[in-house]
Amino acid sequence: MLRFLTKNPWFYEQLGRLCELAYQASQIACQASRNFRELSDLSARLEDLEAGADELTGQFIRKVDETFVTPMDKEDLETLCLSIDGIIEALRGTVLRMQLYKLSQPHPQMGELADLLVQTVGPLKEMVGCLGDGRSKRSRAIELGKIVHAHEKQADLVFRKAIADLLNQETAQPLTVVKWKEIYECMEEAIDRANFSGLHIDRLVLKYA
Amino acid sequence: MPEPQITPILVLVIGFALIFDVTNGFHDAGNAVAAAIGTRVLTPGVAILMAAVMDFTGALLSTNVARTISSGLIQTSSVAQTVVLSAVLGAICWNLITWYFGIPSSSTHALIGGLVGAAMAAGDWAGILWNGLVFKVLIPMLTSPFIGAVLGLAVLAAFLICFRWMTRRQANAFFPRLQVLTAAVMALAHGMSDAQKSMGLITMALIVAGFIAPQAGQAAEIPLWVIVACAAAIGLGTAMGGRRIIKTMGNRIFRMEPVHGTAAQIAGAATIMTMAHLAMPVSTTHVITGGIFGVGMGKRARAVRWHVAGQMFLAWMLTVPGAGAVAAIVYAAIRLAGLK
Repeated sequence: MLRFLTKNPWFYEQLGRLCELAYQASQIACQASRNFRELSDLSARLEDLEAGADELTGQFIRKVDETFVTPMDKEDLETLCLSIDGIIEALRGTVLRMQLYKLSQPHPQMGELADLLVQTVGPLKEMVGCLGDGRSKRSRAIELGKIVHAHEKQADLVFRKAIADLLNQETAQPLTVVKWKEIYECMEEAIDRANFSGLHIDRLVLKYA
Repeated sequence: MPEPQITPILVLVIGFALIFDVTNGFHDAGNAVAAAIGTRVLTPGVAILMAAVMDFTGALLSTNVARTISSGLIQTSSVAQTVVLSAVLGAICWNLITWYFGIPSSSTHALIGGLVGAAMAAGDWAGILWNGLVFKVLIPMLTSPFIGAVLGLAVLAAFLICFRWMTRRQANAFFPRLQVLTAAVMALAHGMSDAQKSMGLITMALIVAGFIAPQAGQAAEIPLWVIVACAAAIGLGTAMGGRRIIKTMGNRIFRMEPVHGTAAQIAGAATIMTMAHLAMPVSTTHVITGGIFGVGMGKRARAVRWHVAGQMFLAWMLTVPGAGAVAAIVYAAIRLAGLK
């Protein structure tokens, strides 16, 4: 009932910026999964982006710790911020592995998984925007949450198929299989974190509506 | 005017009224400091000790509510000593039953229910002062939880506006200290309100026995020894128990932080003290529960566990008829035993 007294747009703006960085990171990872020639350049861009996200997350956590009147419980704000930051971290890990393992060409299903990653991360920014508007945008947030979850489920199928194809290739080099499996798992983790962020926003929209 | 004499039944009434005060102490007084325990600002031991001391002090400060109980609910000229004894026994039984099950019902309601139930069982319908019962007891009882809730909400809003500039660290240092103070004031308010119910009962018994003769149209003066004995009894009761019900009040309604506990206690203390000043015997349990609900709604309506509210409401609804029925049974048993 007293939410009008606890409103503070700074928190939502900052989370929105972090979501924007996560979206940019997913686009870079998507490019990287198809274009191995520019891997080092893309990896450097992602590193800069991750540094920016870390800075933003640090500011956010400090502000939450210092502020007495916050728009949501301290734990809710921190969990959301860290889960969005976790997406960028997982993507940085994915692209870094592609670069370090010196793979010669992309794996067939990697591009498809990367497209689903972009689609899963995409709605998060709008979902965070719904948090500050309470009841009025509740249904929109739930709708976007469903989209995020549907893409994650689809990504799960692609991931399983990719791993199966990888392991069933009898002529493949064992080391290459291990490298790709690890990269796929990293990408899958990034998608899972995006899904977790979506579920968390959904829960918060219901909790604070 | 009867010849004053100390009868066995008078001794029993005084004894049981003091026991009622003790049960009131361990049944109700924990509620005064429940919010402080729920937020872990005070340990249960320290909180209960502080509540006991403040309850004792509060009981010495005012006698307005005692006057209402002794002279404003039942006509002392027609009431029999057995009715007073049955009322107090019925209220004690009810308090023990609800205490055993951890239900935060009201000792005040139990006592009023007991008085009315025993008077009805005695066939003394005309002796019940309905005007006083309705305006001094029932209406304040029904409205006080809502007043507590609205005040709780208002105090929380004031805190959010006035202390917005604070950092979390400053707030975490400030509110626990303030909450200790407000818990003490809440316990003081409890003493001012609740200890007086037994004072009123004993005074009523003394009037019936002829030891006190109130002037026509005026409430009786409460003897000093009655005030001190009741204050000591409620202090003792508070020190003896309370933890079982604190569990319900402290955290079951919603998860509180010190700022919420402080707001609920300020709202509760302000409501109870005002009502005590107006000689209205409200329930501490009701008022503090109202305060906690108000603050909970202020934080987030969904944070309040409404099914707990439902259980409490049911317990409250049952208290007056339940304690009245028990008092009526006790009255019948006393009559069968041949006591007069």
